[in-house]
Amino acid sequence: MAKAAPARRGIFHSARARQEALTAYLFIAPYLLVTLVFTVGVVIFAFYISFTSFDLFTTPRWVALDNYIKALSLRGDFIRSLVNVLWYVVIVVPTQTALALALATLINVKVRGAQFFRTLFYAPSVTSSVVITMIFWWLYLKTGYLNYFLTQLWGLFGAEWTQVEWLNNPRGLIQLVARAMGSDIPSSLWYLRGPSVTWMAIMFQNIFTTAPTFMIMFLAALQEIPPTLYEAASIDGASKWQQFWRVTLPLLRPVLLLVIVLGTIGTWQVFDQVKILTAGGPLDTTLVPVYLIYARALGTDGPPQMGLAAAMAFLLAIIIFLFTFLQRRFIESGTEQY
Amino acid sequence: MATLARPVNPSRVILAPAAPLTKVLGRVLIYGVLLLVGLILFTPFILAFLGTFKTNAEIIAWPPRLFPAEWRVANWPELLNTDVGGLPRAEGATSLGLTAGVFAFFWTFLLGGLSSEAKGQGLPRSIGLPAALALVVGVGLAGAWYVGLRFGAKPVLSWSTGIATALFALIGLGVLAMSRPDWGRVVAAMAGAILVGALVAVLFEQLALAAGGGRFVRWLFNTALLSVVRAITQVIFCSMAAYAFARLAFPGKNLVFNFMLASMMIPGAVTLVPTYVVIAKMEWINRAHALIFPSIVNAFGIFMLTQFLKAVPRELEEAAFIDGASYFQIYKDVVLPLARPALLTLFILQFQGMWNDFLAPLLYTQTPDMWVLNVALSLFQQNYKAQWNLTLVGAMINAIVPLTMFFFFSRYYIEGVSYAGVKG
Repeated sequence: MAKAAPARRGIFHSARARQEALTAYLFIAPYLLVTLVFTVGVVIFAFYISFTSFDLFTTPRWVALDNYIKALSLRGDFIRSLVNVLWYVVIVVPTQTALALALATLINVKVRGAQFFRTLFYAPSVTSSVVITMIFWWLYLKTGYLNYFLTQLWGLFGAEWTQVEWLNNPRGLIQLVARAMGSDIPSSLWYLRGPSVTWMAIMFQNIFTTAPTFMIMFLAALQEIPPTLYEAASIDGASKWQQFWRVTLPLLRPVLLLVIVLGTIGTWQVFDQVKILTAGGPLDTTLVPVYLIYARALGTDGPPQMGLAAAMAFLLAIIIFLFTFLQRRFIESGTEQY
Repeated sequence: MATLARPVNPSRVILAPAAPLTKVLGRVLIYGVLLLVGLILFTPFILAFLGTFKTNAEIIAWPPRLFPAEWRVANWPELLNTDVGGLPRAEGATSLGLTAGVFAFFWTFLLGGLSSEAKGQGLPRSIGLPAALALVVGVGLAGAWYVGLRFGAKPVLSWSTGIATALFALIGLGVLAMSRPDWGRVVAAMAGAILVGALVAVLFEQLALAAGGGRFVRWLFNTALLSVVRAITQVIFCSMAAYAFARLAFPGKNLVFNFMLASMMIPGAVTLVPTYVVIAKMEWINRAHALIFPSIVNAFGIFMLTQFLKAVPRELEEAAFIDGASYFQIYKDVVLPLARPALLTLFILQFQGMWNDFLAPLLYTQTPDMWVLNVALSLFQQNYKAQWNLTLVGAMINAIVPLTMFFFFSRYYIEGVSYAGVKG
């Protein structure tokens, strides 16, 4: 049966090769179908509608670059949301990465019952962000446990803690410092105020949820490191601390890159917490791009603006690509010494 | 692979008897730190769990107390029976049943149509193939007709459902046709699978109707059904694609594979708006279709399984091939059993992915009868008039399932991460 085929089909050596290829195409057909419609088709479509005015019900109207210009106008919501989310990325990514690494190193010790502790540590990550957000909402209430804890803590030092409405406090970090020194930052200079108290409360919650996820990644990598390396290092007289910096960390570099890149991609697209807790408030200090895209696409205030939402999504994607590209360059250039 | 056990550190064995006191103290210290950190990370859950037994006045009172004054266990059944006023509408239930039915059909057909020997017996291909194709069209028409029957005048929805159903039947038929089958058996299997699919569809539709509209039980049912259907379809379709990428030669393989890797970099935010438009145009809003069909496969799952299969020796498959087994038989009888740990990993990750998904269900569902737990929970504060105790009960019920899964299958979570990230 191997002889007849080449005459009929040029690309295949034999009937068997042809059959193999056809089978393969059928096996990947579901993926191709889904990806052609919901990835390729949809991205091209998004690119098109980002140049149109489109409300889902009427035909799209060509408006050229209007959506992009509107999104990038300095007084617009989108710039505001980018500033907010930049604070978020800059604070959350390093913190959660460091915390994840610390947790992984801690849980990697060989003791009995490690499995139990692993579940305990990982609990915030396997449960849905909605569950954690609802619980934190309750903990953040004015009469909640966080205020209670801080009251007790301050009480230990004889000080008085005034209960804070964590989820309704637009004051910025830098603004608070300025107020402590007797001045204030006017609202026209909002970008100098720093992340608001509410925004930092959400950051705290996100670090709490995401750090254990990345802990598992570090843990998987730590378990791949051959123990002989540590033995060699300890024979050479390296302390535990030196072993961590000189053996563990260099070997974790690829995972470190992965964790930072994934963390960055995730934090730029923060949505769930904002949607549930604040809807962008108070005073737009927790407004983030994906929430804005969601709100414009669905038209929560006014008619749906699909074109504007698509334009904002592309701008956000470009920023994310740039960020991950730079991180990759930065971390990989550091790898060359090994 | 990636065994967690490690050869015992010899230095530790030698040192242990020499310094017993520091060793014991070190152990105590380690346990102390582990317990402390674990407690900090778990505290929100403990507080929330205790909160589920308090009255609503007590739960928001100042100062908050750790234990309830009186243990109010009745909060739990109360939540299960609270109704936010959603009607038990047939349409939503139909779409839930249909998505389950389509994939029950697909898999029954593939398994039933597979014959190990008996080539050339029974129906000749010239009759069997047209008959099977007619049945494919019939499946599509039946799906469209049934949706039309339940939803009234919604032609776009009927046709998009019908075409999606028929496409799966066609793929299944193609896969079987490539394995030189017994055509009589294929036609019989298709007919039988149609029956199974229809039964599953009606069964789950009726279950959904029995679970009511805007009640917690229904949201639990929706979430569980969608999570299981998504996990099963992902396991089937990702493993099929992974088998093709890892084992079969075909023109354009590297192109498609590299494209797939690149597509994993596209942020979800970019596809959000146009996907919503496409789903809206197909009239899939507020239907289970929108949550299942676009995510029957994903690039990450295919990549993970491909990496796994590449590491598995292929001697067994070659032996089977020499014995005359078709590619689909090898996939089903050799590859799937070998890949079981990786498949279980994918199942767990996808189940958890759907269970914890929020943005997609929020976008694509509207009425209370179609909500999943996460959407319902996020809207509790409106629907339950700020009843924090009930909200926390809901949160706890939602959390129990993924937590239990992780406790029993944590090895697979870690392996999933290491296939995808560390070794890829």
